[in-house]
Amino acid sequence: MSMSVTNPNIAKTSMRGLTNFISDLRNSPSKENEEKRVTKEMAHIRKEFKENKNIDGYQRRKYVCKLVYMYMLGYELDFGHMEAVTLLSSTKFSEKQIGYIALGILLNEQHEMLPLIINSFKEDLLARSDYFQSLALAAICNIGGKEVAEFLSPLIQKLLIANTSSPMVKKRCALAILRMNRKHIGFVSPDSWVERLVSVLDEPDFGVLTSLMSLLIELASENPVGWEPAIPKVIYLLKKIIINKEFPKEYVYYHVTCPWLQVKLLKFLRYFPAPDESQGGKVLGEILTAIFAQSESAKAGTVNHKNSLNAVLFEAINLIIHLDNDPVLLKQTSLLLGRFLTVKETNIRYLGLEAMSHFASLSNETSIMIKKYQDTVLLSLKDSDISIRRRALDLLYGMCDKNTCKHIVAELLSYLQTADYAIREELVIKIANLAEKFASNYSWYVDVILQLITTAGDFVSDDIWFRVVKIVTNHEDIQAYAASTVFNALQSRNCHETLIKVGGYILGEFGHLIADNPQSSPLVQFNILHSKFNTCGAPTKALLLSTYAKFVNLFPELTQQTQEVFKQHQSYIDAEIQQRACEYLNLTSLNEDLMQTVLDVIPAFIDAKDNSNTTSNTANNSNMINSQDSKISSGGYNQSPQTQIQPQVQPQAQNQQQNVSTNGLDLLDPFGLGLTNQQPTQQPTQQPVYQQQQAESFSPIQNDTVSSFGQQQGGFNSPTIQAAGSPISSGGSDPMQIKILASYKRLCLVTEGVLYEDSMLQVGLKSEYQSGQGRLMLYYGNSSTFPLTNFNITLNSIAGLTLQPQSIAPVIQPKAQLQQPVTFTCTAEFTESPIITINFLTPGKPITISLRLPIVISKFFEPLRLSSGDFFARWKTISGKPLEIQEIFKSTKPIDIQSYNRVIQEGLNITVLKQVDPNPNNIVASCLFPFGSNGQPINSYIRIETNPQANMCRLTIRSQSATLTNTIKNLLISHLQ
Amino acid sequence: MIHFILIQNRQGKTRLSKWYTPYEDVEKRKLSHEIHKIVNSRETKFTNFVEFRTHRIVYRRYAGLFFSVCVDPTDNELFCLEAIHLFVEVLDAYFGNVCELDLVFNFYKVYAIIDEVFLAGELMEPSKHVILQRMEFLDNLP
Repeated sequence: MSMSVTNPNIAKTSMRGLTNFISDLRNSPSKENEEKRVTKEMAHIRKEFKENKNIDGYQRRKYVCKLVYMYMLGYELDFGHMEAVTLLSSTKFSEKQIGYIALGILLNEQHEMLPLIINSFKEDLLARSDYFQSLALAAICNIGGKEVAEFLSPLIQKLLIANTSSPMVKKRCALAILRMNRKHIGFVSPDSWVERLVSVLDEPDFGVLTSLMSLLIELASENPVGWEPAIPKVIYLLKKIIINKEFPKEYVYYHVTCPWLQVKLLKFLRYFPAPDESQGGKVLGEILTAIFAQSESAKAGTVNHKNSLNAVLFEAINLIIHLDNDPVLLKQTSLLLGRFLTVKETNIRYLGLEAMSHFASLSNETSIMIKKYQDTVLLSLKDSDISIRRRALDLLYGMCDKNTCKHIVAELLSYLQTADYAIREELVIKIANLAEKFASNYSWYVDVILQLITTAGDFVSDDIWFRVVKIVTNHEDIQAYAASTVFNALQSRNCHETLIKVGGYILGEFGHLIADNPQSSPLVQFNILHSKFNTCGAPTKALLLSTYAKFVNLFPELTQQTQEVFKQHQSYIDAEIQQRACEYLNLTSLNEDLMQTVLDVIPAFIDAKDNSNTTSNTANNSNMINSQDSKISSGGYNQSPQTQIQPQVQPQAQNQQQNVSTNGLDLLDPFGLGLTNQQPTQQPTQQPVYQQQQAESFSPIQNDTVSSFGQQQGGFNSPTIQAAGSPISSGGSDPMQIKILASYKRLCLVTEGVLYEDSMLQVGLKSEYQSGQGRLMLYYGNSSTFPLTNFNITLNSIAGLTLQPQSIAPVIQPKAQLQQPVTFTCTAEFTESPIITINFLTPGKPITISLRLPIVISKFFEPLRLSSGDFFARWKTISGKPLEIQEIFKSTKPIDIQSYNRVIQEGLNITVLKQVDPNPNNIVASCLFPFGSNGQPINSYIRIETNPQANMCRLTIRSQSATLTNTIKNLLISHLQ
Repeated sequence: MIHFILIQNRQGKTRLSKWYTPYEDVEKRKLSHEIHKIVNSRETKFTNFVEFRTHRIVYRRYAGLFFSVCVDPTDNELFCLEAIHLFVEVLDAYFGNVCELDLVFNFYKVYAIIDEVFLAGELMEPSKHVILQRMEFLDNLP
């Protein structure tokens, strides 16, 4: 087919007004001029549509095109859709076509206008000309949703098999059915469809066959059972093309017969077991051999020729690996893949590495066959192209076994030092998994993990270090080794915080094993840990306090130093640390027996191996496996950790497991053993919300609570408290506390309001959020009759949220107000809200108020609309703790689904997906958090099943981030309960 | 399946975008931006495939234009790469030595052509000859 240099048809169908308009916009000297021109044109077109009664088809077509063009440039369009619909009913093809194109660009399947145009679709489907039918079918393929499927599917079915339908119509029908099935999984069942679809395989037109094979692959990937009758015909078609060389000549592409159809035919067979004799099993062997033979010619010829042959070849290799029944072909495959590793074309190397991963996972023999390529693969790990590096890493991970693991892990560790950030997280998870899976001795394992922490501490997740701690606890023979190794590692000046955590935990438990050595005496151990204390974040500090408490128990000579630290932290701002300090101080000074019981060595963990499973899950997820196709795609190297280790945890183990995985601190927190009698004030850890340091003489309501707490806490007060007044952790029953919590919760759902109010100070705020950025305006109002002086605000960033408060004047006059803008950026998942501490002086008395700012992760959520099919397809890809959390709770108020929907949708910015779950008592929702800590957006999927009679709710949340899942759970419970 | 097809120039202007998975407009803009950043930063000797979120991008550069297709990781990459080339050959034959401006001024034609090649996120018609003949026929309808 050759066309003249300029196609005369273009001029014939073009519109001069449109061309001029596009020229104008392109020639605009500035963005402002362009905007002006666009505004002017929009106004003109709007007027024309409204007032010009004689507007003709040509003009309407031209205007709609202009509007679409402006929309494509990014301008919003609030009219014109109806005009595009009007074009649909034109009898002129050129007008109807523009109507369909415009709607295809402007609408998506959720658009409210779609039901209005179903009738136009139907009329065109019933038209006698295949070009009108084609337009409607294309629109159904592009934007058809559920209603379209319900209303038009019988008609489309009929068109697919009717003898009178042209190939143009048939191929579109096949894809329209595919589309409807995607929107409505299970829509096409083999019982009623298999015969009809198989009969279409007799169609001689390759366009129809290509489209039909897409449909069959989709159906088989969902569930292959019932589609077997297609197998003999598919093999026959392959034979016709590859061996008999019968094909229509217009389908030859660079000397290869329709590579796309060949690929699809081969891919279909991958969903079934090896075909037997009656299905054409033997012929298939011949076909695959012929494909290998013809790929030899790929050495010469154009790029397109080679690519086409290789597309078919790699599909054949995948099929050979799947069938796993022909030793000759398998042997050939391994040789071929080995050759691909060193070819110049990066595309082929990439695909070779990927196919080799599948091959390696097949069996012991296949993995031995490729052992000899290990060094070549290691070289690919240093390729400049990250795509190649990723594939090489996957393959090495799959190649690793007991004999090679030390070498491979050493290589991966050395690569980790220079690896770029994009791949580090995956690398760390893979190394940790390999080290654990193949460790012949655990001291090597400990070394590897410590090296991981030292080289890439930021990427070592909690899961990984919890795992080390568990393994060390459970293996007595390495405890002393682990203690001395971490002790040595801690000598380095810049320790990663994760190392300090591991060090704190291990020395607290097993430090006594190395205490006889004067170089690591108890005091030296304490000093080295405490020298890092001030640089650590709150969770690590809390952990170290527990370590110190353990030290007191093990080494009585450290009592004085450690108690000094506890005393210093009795009034610490972080409630968890404050609580630990108070409790440990008392525990270590009151009753020795009790102390010994509580601070005894942690017993061995019951090993459910759940955590390693978790980490390999994460590895899987980052490997981007599409659930539907995972059977054929990923190869066993990803699946093996999951299949080997059944996460069947006994109840007892599960408890411990939860302790480990939900909060590292619980590992060391030995409380909850009935200490409440001794420590009546230690309830409020769950609400580190409100602390107020205040002297006795202010508002009477507060005075009451202050004094009662003062009395209760009297025994624990120490002279080292930072500010005047006594520290108060207000309990749950304090009316002030309840009021503060209510304001906080309300502001988590709305953008402005009062955060705090007492007789002196009112704190209000307004907030706005946009794509990861937020801006808060805080208003501090002095409602007293005296000035508030030395007014200052402490507001620190937390992990995942960077806050930048502007400075503020030090005095608020009576009845006056100060404003403070705070800007902030969300960089990763965060769990808690930041805490603002307000300090000021009233005549003679210092006041401190600590409040939680209503900045919660949901403020950064973006809508995620999914169809029911998409929702469930993605829902299925995630399961198991900690990515999935389920929780049942009882609502304190009668359950009202409408108000739940409102809270979720409007308050928490989570998109409620209507019509996904037919049960009106259930809610299905999803949201997108664009700033995942791995640099990628994270989707979350939520189901809430309510039982209004019992007032109970069951909540299930799944996302690719354990932190996010957990945070969403907490948010939902706190706002729905 | 193909989730979307993008034609972008080196400066990152999107000349054509076709979405087979429904995204919000905001998300579409974000995706286009990210894809451009990724493919524009890759060296010519690199593979034509790059991982993107949970998907894979198969892309090819023709003069100043990037043709990027977002597919599932289980899709055959070379299949997609040659499907892009097929589409480009069709454009080239239809416009007669196609250039970026042809795509700008005749965007509605490009959308019409793309529907002749791909539908529902799948390659529908693999014959250049059949596609061009069909376009010729449609252009001459009353």
